[in-house]
Amino acid sequence: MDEDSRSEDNRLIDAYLDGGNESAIEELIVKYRKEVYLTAYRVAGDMEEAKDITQKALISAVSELRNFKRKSAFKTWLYRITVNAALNHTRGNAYKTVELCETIQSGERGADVCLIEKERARRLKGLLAGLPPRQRLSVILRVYRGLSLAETAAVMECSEGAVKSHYHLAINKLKTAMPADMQGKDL
Amino acid sequence: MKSGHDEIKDMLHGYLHGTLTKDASALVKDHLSCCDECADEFYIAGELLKIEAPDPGVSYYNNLTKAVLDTASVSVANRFNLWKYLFRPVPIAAAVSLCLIIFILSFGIFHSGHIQYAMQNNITMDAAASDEAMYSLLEEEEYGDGLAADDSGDDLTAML
Ligand SMILES: [Zn+2]
Repeated sequence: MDEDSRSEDNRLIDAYLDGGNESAIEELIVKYRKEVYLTAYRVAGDMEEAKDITQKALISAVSELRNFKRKSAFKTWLYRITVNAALNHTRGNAYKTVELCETIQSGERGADVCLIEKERARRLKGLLAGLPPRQRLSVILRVYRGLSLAETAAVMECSEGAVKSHYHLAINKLKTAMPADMQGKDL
Repeated sequence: MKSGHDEIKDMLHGYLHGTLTKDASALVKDHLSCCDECADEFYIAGELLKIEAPDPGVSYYNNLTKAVLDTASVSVANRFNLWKYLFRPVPIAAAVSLCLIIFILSFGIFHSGHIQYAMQNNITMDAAASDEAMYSLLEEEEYGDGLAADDSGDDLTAML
C-alpha cells in the first residue's frame, strides 16, 4: 500500500478526531466511497443491496473511528468493516444474479457474440457467488480490488499462506465448473 | 528481475490491471505461454474482470457522503461539542473569572472595613482568623489558575 496515502489518511483522521474538522472526514469518505461500494457490490451481487451496505459500512467506520488503532492502514480497516457488513447483510439472502441480454434482437451476429459473452459472465458470477465466503473474498479482494497478498490477509485476518490457499482453491473450482464450451481462452 | 513461477503468480494481477513495467509484462507473457497453472489463473481472473459492476451514479455518491456525515458524525460531533462547550474558553472562563473577582473584591472590602472597625474599636485581630482568610484567598487564586490551564486546551488535547 502506498505509504503516502496511508499517512495522508492518518492526517485526515487526526484532523477530524482532534479538531472535529468535518471537511477532513468528508475528504476521507470521498476518497474511499467508490471502493467501498464496489467491494460491497462484489460480495452482495446486487446494486441496491450494495448501496445499503456501503452506507452502513461508512457510517460504522466514521462512528468507530476512535477505535481504529492504526495497527493496519485505514484502507485495510475500512475494507474489513465493508466485508463484514456485506457478509452480515447478505447472510441468508440468496445472491442475486442479473438477467442479461433481454433486449438483444436475434439474427444479429454482434448480438450473438454479446449473448455468449454475457451468458458466460452470468454463469461465472453465479459460480463465484456459490464459493465458500473465504474463497470468494480472496478472489474479490485480489482480482477486483487488486489488493496484494499481505493486504488481503490483513483484511481477512488470516495468514498470507491461508489467502494463497483460499485463492488457489477458488480459481480451481471456477475453472473446473466453467463448462468447456465457455472456456474460450485467448491470452 | 524475478522470473520463477511463484514470482510470476504475484505479478499476474499487475499484468491484468496493466500496472507492470514493459520488461515485467514481457516476462509474464512469456511465462503464460509455458505454464498452464498461471495461464488458467490469468484466464479466470480476466473473465471475472469482464463482469461489470453497475455504476450507482454521481448523485448517489454525493447523497451518500451527506447521509454518512449527517448520521455518523452526529454522535461523534455531539461528544466533541460537549467537551468544547465544557472547555469553551471565552464565555465560561470569563464568567467564572468575573464572579471570582467580584467575590474576592467584596470579600476584601468587607474585611478591610471589618479590620478598620476593629482597630477603631481597639479590638485586636485574631491571627489565626487572618491566616485562614489568606489561605482561602490563595485557594481561590489556584482555582482560578486551574481554569486558565483548561483554557489553553492542553487538557482537552490529552482527553481526546
Ligand atoms: Zn506459472
